[in-house]
Amino acid sequence: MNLKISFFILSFFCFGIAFSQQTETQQKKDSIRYYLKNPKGKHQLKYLKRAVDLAEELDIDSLIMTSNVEFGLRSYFKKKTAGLDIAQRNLNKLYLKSKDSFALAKVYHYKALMHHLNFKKDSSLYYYTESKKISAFIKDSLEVGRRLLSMSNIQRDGKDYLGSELSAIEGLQYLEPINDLRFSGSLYNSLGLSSLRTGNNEEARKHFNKYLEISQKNPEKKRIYTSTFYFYSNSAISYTNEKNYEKAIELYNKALKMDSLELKYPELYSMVLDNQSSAYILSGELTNVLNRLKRANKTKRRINDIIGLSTNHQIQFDYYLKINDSKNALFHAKKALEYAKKSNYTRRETSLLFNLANSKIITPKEANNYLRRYIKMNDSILEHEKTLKNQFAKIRYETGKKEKENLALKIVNEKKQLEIEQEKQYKIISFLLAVGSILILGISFLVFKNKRKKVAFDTQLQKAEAREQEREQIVKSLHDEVAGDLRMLHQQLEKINQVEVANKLELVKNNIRNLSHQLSSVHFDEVTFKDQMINLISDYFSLECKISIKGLKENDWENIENPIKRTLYLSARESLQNAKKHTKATQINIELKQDKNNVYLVVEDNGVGFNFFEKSKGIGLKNQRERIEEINGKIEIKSTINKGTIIKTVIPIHV
Amino acid sequence: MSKTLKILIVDDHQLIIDGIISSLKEIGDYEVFFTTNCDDAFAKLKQEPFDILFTDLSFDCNTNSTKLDGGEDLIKAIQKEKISVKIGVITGHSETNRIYNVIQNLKPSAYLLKTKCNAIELNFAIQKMMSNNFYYTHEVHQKMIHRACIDIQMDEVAIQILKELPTQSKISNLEGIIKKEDGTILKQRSIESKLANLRIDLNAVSNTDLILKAKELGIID
Repeated sequence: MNLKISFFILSFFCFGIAFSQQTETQQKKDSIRYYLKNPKGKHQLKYLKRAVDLAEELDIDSLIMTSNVEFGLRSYFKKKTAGLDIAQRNLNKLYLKSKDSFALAKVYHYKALMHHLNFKKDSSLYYYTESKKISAFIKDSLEVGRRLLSMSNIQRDGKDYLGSELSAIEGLQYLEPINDLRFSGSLYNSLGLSSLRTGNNEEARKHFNKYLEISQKNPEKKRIYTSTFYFYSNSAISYTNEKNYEKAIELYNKALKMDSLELKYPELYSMVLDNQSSAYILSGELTNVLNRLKRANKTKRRINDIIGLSTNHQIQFDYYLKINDSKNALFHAKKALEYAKKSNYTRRETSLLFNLANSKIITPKEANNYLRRYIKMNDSILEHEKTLKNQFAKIRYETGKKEKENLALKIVNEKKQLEIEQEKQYKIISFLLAVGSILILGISFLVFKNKRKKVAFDTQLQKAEAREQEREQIVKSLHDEVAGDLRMLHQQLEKINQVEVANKLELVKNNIRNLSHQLSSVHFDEVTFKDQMINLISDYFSLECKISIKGLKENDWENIENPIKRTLYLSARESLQNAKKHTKATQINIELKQDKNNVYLVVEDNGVGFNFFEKSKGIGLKNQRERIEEINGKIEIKSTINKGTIIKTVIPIHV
Repeated sequence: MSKTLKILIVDDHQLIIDGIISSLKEIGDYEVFFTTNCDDAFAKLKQEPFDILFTDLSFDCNTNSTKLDGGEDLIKAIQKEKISVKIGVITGHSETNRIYNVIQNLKPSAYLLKTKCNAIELNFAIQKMMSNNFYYTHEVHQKMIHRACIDIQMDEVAIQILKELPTQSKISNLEGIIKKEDGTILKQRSIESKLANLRIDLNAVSNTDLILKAKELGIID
């Protein structure tokens, strides 16, 4: 009883532990889900990091993947290289463990993002390319398209417009078949921007239209909103480039009138204000410019948009130049330079230096100084851009080359595969041939062996037949010659009245006749085996010794070889003779049997039994045994004194 | 008897021929001819008509020129030529096989054994033969009965009939009881013809005699 209770408690306890463990796991899973679903707020990265850690604890591959992917992406948006690095390392670990190519693609992707954040555009481009290749390998078209979008953007930034366009087109080839709206739209935008840079404004606007058209289909309102905004502002730039300031300003106004732009996207809002101001300045319409620029400046300052501030001050510098306020112009020029430098925006820096040097608001000496700085800087920029372009080209070339190599390799592989396949087929064929020939060899060996056996068997039967003929010959000469001679003697003796001797001679003659009868064989040409057997039994049948036979009518004897039938007949005769002469049997049972391989003869009597080693009885039995063994048969004699005798004969029918 | 019977004897042993001739002389007045080989006998039979032919079965002193090898061949030749003569076999061959074969295939009018071939036997045989009957000497007859006995033993329908017959008052009652190997019922007519054959085979005068003989031979218990 106590044992029972303790067992119950124990099992309950165990169940409790298991249950709590289960709930803990479930709780962790729930936490991860919560952290992943809650991407906003200032604790976003903290939460995601926690999700990453929990996934690590649970050691569930799918959770490790999703949490790290999310953590890496959010870290990138927050420009946190450390977070990206953690995500990238975790994904690398996951890849090494699970060999999931998606993880490896993400590792390269995040390495690219890290280099992007560190302004290492060439390295970034390299890793994007690697990531793209893996995604292409695992046929993840969406990821390929996204990587190509990033590549296209980087290439455009590096002034590799051709490369950028090629990447964008390649990206569209991946994304359009899978009906992706978001990234294929962005790719059209990228195409448009590249066209913008190369002065193809009209073509650029076509791309922007396409961008808007695709994005409108996107069910996400946010996407529609931003794409509409970019459509306005980018199209405005194209008009500005074409000096169609009126159209540009109108588009900027449309962008500015978008629902709560200032609130939702202060960066974009201030950018549009700046760009519109620039258009106003270029068009000569200066009334509202300063007001806008101040508003933009205020916003940018609030959101700490350094590059934006540099742009803003540059435009203000342009504005003050235009109204010939050299003091303010110089101030803003210096501010713009300061922010450009701060943000590593060297291109802006050089253009400012150049503009400043040519502005005539400074002393010639100062101008000379700026100019020299500009030249030096521009050289290095040009150099940098040149190398960057070269590197991009190189990456592109190498990628192309690699792809070509891959293609070649693929062809070689296919060839090899084909060769292997062929070799395999040859192997299979030769294997089959080998097996076939072995089988044929085996079969022919068996056939040969069987044939040889059959021939041997037939020869044996023929030999038996020959021996039978020999016996026949002996019997005939016994009967004809010996008996004939005896008859002559008998006649002569009778003539000289030696009746006594003549009678003795008659006895000898009868003995010889009996012997010849005993030795005589049988033929089944005229009388069937069945009838012969019945006749044989009839000869030995008497009221004192009844004989029954079984299995004679039931079996077919037509197809049994004559020597076998003869042996059966003679065996039966010998057994009957023995039983009749020596055992005083009153009942003899004969049974014949056939199966697939053998014929059987069993002769059983109820006589007194006999010792078959006795000489006088041995001759007949020896003869019988000899005949049976001549044709591969076997004979078994079991005789019990006063119980009876059983003689079993087995003869194989064929080989 | 209006006409003296013409008898031809063929045997390779003059002694036997002499014996038969002396026995025939005891019986009555016959016109007796003899020869020691089959070819000669056949030639004689073709030349002139005989009433009776007594022949042995095996002839020892055959040469290569001999055409008819033994009594069987001679009988076959006679039957083939459709020579009208009653044939009696007088032989030493008492093996059932020989007897059965000769009687089955050649249907001689008589089958006598040399060992018991005396005047009485011969007379009896000649009487039977001339009245278109058959005469087989007792031993031969016995052998034929034994043979029939073995045959009947293996005939399940015959055994059924023999077993059921004593239990029924009328033969018609057997109908429905006796079944063939395939399970079908044997008609009264078939049962009756079977019984008739059995009576002949076992040399029984009536059905009661048949049952007694079957019991004696151990066919039924």
